[in-house]
Amino acid sequence: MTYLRIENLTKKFGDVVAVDDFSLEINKNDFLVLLGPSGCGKTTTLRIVAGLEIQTEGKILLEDRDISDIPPENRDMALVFQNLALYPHMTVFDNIAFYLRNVKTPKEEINERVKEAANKVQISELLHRYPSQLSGGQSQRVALARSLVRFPKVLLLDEPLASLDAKLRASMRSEFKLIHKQIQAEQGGPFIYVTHDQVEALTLGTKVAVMNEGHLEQLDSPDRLYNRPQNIFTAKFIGSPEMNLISGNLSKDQSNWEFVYGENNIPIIPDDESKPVEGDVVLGIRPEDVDILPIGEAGISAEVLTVELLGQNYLILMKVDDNMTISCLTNMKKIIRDGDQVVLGFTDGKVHLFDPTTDRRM
Amino acid sequence: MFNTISGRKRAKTILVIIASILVLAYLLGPIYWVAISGFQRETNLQDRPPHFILTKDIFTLNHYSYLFTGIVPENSSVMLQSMYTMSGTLVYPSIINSLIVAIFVTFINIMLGLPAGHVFARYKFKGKNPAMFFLLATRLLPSISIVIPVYMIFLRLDLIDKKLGLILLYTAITLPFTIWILQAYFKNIPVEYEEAARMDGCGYLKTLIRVVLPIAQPGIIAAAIFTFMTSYGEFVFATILTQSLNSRTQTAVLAALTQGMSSSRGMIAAAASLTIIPPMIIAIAFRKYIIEGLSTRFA
Repeated sequence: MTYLRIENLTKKFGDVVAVDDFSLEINKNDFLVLLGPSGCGKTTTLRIVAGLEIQTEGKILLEDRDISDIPPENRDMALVFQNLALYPHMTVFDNIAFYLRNVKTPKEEINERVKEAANKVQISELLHRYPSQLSGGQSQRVALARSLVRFPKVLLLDEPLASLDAKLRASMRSEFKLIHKQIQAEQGGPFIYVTHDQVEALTLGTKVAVMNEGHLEQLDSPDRLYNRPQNIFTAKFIGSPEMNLISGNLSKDQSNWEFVYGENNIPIIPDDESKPVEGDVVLGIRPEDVDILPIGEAGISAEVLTVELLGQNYLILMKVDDNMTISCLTNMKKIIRDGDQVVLGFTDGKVHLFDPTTDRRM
Repeated sequence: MFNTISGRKRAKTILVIIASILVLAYLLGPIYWVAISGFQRETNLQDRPPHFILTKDIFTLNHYSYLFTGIVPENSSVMLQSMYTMSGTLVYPSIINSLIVAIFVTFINIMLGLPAGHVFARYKFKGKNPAMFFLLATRLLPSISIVIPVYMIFLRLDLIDKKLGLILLYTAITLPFTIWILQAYFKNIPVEYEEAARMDGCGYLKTLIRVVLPIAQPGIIAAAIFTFMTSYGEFVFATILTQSLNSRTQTAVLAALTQGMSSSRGMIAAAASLTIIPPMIIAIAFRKYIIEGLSTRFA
């Protein structure tokens, strides 16, 4: 049985369509990530699931029960807010215990469960502090404990790592993954996690929904999103550094496909799933799949603009012509320098072909 | 002194101290004078130059004893005795009346104003802007201009000379401001706290009581104090709408006291000092909240 179903969800704020006919199914053991740029409707969708916003059209079904009309306090869902919203006038203990007190849990049980939740996120020593006395990371964990102390039907998280520094973000990411596993082991419900950070999405999610301007671009596992983006938006959004996109022409010479850009003819080998069509095409290639070939081989000629050190790899920006630059990620087996003339090729099976009129994958 | 940073700092501090002393003297001077006048012998009050410091030979408790007992002190001259007018004994009960009215008015203001202010701050509804404008507009009329119609209405409703009448009227006067202040204060509180409370199982009322109220405490206290002061010190309606000690408030009694040309000035000073005491206690006790609540930016 599908645990949570979002059916044809639409939300309008006056004339502005924030969410446009959005549909989704989630299983009980999913970690769903709603991913997209600011303003794409992901937070609005989350808040509608929570009950804090009311949908213009559409339904939310939890375990086959229509909860679209039920107010948030009766939906038995927990929400970790972007700015945490810890009650400033209560201690950490009271913050975590608040829900349990509201549903009239007996005192000893409250004590036990709060301590357990605090243990899970390692804040046991902070229980009598006030939110103003906590650091960013500590507050974050209190907010999490507040949600974990109950067993919500769904755990909703709205960009919980947004206000943390980079290092803390990385370590909290791993913690989230562990906590999800723990909750799953205890028969807990799914997580719905909103973020604009695609690294978070790819590392945390079992399913990622890429959203743009209110509608769903692609719903898939992180792996497929990365390796088989179904449209240009997803292809550009996922992956850092960004995928290179080149508009050109596809032609077939017997059974060999060729990509034509200006005067350059590059033989390409599409992946097994794609159905290439001759004609105009937008070719996508990730920087790590751009190969620098020896001069003379068939490929795109370009001039090296900059070479950036990224730690283990180098990001090389190259100019093909006035309209086009291509970036390549490599560990510099050959030394490349600014101003060098190079020839670029594409790794077999790693090209992404898109129809320019529909933006969809071929 | 002005050519070094630390020199300028020192000069600035000195100037600030001097200015503060001057301002304090200007503001507190009259109050101090009234306070000590209440303890000075009547004859000494006419002295030129006036006595600024209470010394043993001019100190007396006669004024205060008269206010509370109505018994004119025996060891004073006949002329002096005639200066103690009857209305002096009304001072103490009238302060009680003022307090009762002010406390009720404040209570009702908070009970009604808190949810009202919250709704105005958080929700959109048809007629909201006109409603808010109307609230403020009613306060733009000076009391004098509506005293006569109000008197007539109260006469019909048999509310003249009743504390209930004053309570109702003062509530109508102060509630708009309370709602306005609270509404602005709520707007400055992030709505996420209430949303979190909803997710934690609280309905509207529980959210208001368990989460909004504690967080908005300084603003609420500031609004309450403002209401109290307004009600306690209201003069126009108090004078016109009250007659006997059933409802006479301290503003009216004090005014009547000062109108007698030959009244004992020491007695008047003592009476005035008494009326100041309740608001002063409140202001001092809650000074922290007053400052915090009123310094929120009311955008």
